[in-house]
Amino acid sequence: MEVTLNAHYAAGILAAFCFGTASGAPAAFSCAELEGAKPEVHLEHLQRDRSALKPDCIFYAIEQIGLKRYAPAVKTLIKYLDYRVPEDPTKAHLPVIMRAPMLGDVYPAVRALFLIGKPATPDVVEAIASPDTTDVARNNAIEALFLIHREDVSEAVAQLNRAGKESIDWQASQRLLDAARRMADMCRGPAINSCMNALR
Amino acid sequence: MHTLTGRAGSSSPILVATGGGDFTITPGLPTLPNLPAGGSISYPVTVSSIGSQSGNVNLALAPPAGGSMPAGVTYSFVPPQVYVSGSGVGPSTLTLYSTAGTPGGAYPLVITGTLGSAQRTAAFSLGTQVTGFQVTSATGSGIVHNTGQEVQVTHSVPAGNAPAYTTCDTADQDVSCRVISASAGTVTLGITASASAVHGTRVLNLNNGAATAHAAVGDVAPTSISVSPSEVTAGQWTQVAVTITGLNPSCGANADCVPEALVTDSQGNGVTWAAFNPAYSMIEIDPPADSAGGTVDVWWAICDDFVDFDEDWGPCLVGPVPIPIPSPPPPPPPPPALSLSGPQGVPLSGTNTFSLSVSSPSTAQTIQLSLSTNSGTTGSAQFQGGGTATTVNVPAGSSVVSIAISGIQVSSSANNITLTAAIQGVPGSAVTALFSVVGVTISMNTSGQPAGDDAGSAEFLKGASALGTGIDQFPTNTSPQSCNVGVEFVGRVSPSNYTGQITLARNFATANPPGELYKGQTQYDPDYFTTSKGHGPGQPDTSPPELLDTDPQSGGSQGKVYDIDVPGIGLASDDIYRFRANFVEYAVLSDSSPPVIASPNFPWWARVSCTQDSAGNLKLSTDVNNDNQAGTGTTPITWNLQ
Repeated sequence: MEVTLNAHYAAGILAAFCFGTASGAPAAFSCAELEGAKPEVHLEHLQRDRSALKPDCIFYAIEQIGLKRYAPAVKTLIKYLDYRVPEDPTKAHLPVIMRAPMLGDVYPAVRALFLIGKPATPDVVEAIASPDTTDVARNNAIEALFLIHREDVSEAVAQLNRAGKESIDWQASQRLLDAARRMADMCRGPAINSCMNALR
Repeated sequence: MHTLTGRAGSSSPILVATGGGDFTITPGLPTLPNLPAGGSISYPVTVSSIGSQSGNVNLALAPPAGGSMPAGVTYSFVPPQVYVSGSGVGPSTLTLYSTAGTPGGAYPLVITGTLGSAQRTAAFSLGTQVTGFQVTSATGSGIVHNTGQEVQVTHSVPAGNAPAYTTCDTADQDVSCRVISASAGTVTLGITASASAVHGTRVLNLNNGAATAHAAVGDVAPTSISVSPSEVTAGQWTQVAVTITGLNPSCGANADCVPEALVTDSQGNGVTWAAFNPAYSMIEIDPPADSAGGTVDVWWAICDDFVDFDEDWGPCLVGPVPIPIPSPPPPPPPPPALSLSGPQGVPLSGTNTFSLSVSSPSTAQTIQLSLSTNSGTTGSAQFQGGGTATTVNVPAGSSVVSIAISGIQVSSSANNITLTAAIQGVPGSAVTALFSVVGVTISMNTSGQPAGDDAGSAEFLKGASALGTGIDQFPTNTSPQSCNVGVEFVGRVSPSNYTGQITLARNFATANPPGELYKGQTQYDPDYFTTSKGHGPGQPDTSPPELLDTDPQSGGSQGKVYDIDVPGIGLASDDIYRFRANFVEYAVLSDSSPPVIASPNFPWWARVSCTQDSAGNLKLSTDVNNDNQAGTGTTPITWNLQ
């Protein structure tokens, strides 16, 4: 991320802890007008007309909602699943240095949904099934679901598979079953067998 | 409103023997006592033959000579002519009709029968009834106190057919009445009740009973009323003794004259009726629970609740006698109470802070603190000043005290150490908090697969195949590749059943600079490892949450937390790019506020050189010995590691 993206990721862990995170996620973005506000305020900010908002404040609000595990924001975060940190053209030619970038560095809503955890699952599955979800957002929803269930990815695979089979909307069903297969392909090591079994 | 019923005369027939030897006329009893206004009344009329006289008798009605028919009254005989013969009789019916304006009164009338040249008559008195009328106003109090003083009361008399009233009397010798004046529509009465008159209602007879009215006789107002106690309590029945002075002695002697107390609150709302038994001189009052700070007013009724005054007690009431309802004294301050909150863990050889709240900080408190370890377990902690017992003085006005506790020996089991706080001299005030003394030992894996219980491994394996050096691709398979060394850090937590969150955090080493980048043998991006770039000495470099596992019990870890790092470098041109850096890994009790460090520093390093093959695929450069690895301690940061 240091090279191809304007990575804000790297702020101090103690600073992040001071915001109450238990995960070590850094407070990477800054937005003076939202500094110190409650997650309700951050959510309200994200629900405004997106075109009128400052990108840094959008990223800041998404990040803070994630750090606070603010579950009421899940539906709004899903709308931001395809909202990405802009590339920094001055660094586009530089090599990747030091740290592997995560998808959540590029699409902050993915990380926020991951941090909120399993309470976000039903809405994320719904977003995967929805015809209104863009391809990027659907892909990121699958990634977020993968992270949420990272300790047992087969659980997410089974959930998508089950939702796909139960859906009475053929197209939604196909989207869910395709997502289940893609997620099963993301399983590695000992998890592969359980993920494949979950597709049955 | 007082309803007076007028009666202006009797319709009972007055039988009059009439002359003539051949027939007689006899009116019978009427269908009503009086002819009502706008109504009718009928009389049977019997014509009897005398002396075998026979023939048709024509009947007629007229006032006596000099008199007149009541206004508006008409009549009919059915039949108007009766035939009599021998000693027989002929029946007829006289019916009189009135209008609404027919005046009340007694009117003599005469029935005349004509047979040939013979005429016989029968006289009777027709009573016409006044339309019911009402008093629409009354001057004066309307109440006649038994003082011997005349009270004037003026009644409105709307009935158009009411006669002029001239006399008034009552059946009670102790109550007298007279007509002071009368005019169309009104009559003013003078009513006097003597001291011996008993409280209650009297019927007033106007014009010898032609109409009636009512008078309310009330007792003499007491000259003073006092109550005891002088206060009552909100929400509680209170017996209040009442002493009445100057009340007419007759009051109370009559069953209808039992005084009553109307108790109202300060807004005039009725609180309760409290019956007063003169034998006990006592009322009971129950002010509402929310009436504290107000008053109840005791009003004394000096007339009975007779029908005429059902809705207008005003004239009957004496008072008020206010009885205050004092506000309850403020409750005594609650005894001070304590509450303890704090972290699950205190780091070994470190300090964490508990928060002690004192709920009643109005006075200074001395708090006794102690630490104890559950029997059968090991582990110890001490207060900041040393020892396992201490006191802390909480000055008045303070409510929260911080208690610093240091970990001395790691707990053998979670939550086996008890912090107890108690207010000195206040039994039962003790509160406790359980915690563990936590130690974390960090180790490092640089090859093979990440641990199966490392929650961060799933995300790591999406872009890398194993720990150690390799060509990785994050975050997706369309992202640029880079040469990395995958490192997994394991934090072994003691006690192993500890459930608090522990993050393996990381800083750049404090050496300046902590690392270097090279392109071939030349320094590349020399500012990279500077503070201004965020990669300077001692600056934080903790992994993103996707690569962390902070729950020591997740995945069946039984006391292990993890961090995966993937340091390295990619390419910007066809050359060799090198990465050398030194780090420090350490554990943090991340659910403490603020987080505290829970392990010794774990220094480590990573060094990678990256190039590409003839096909343009990235590969590790092996031109420097012992390159492309990670390890504990410190690495030289020169291009050739010398």
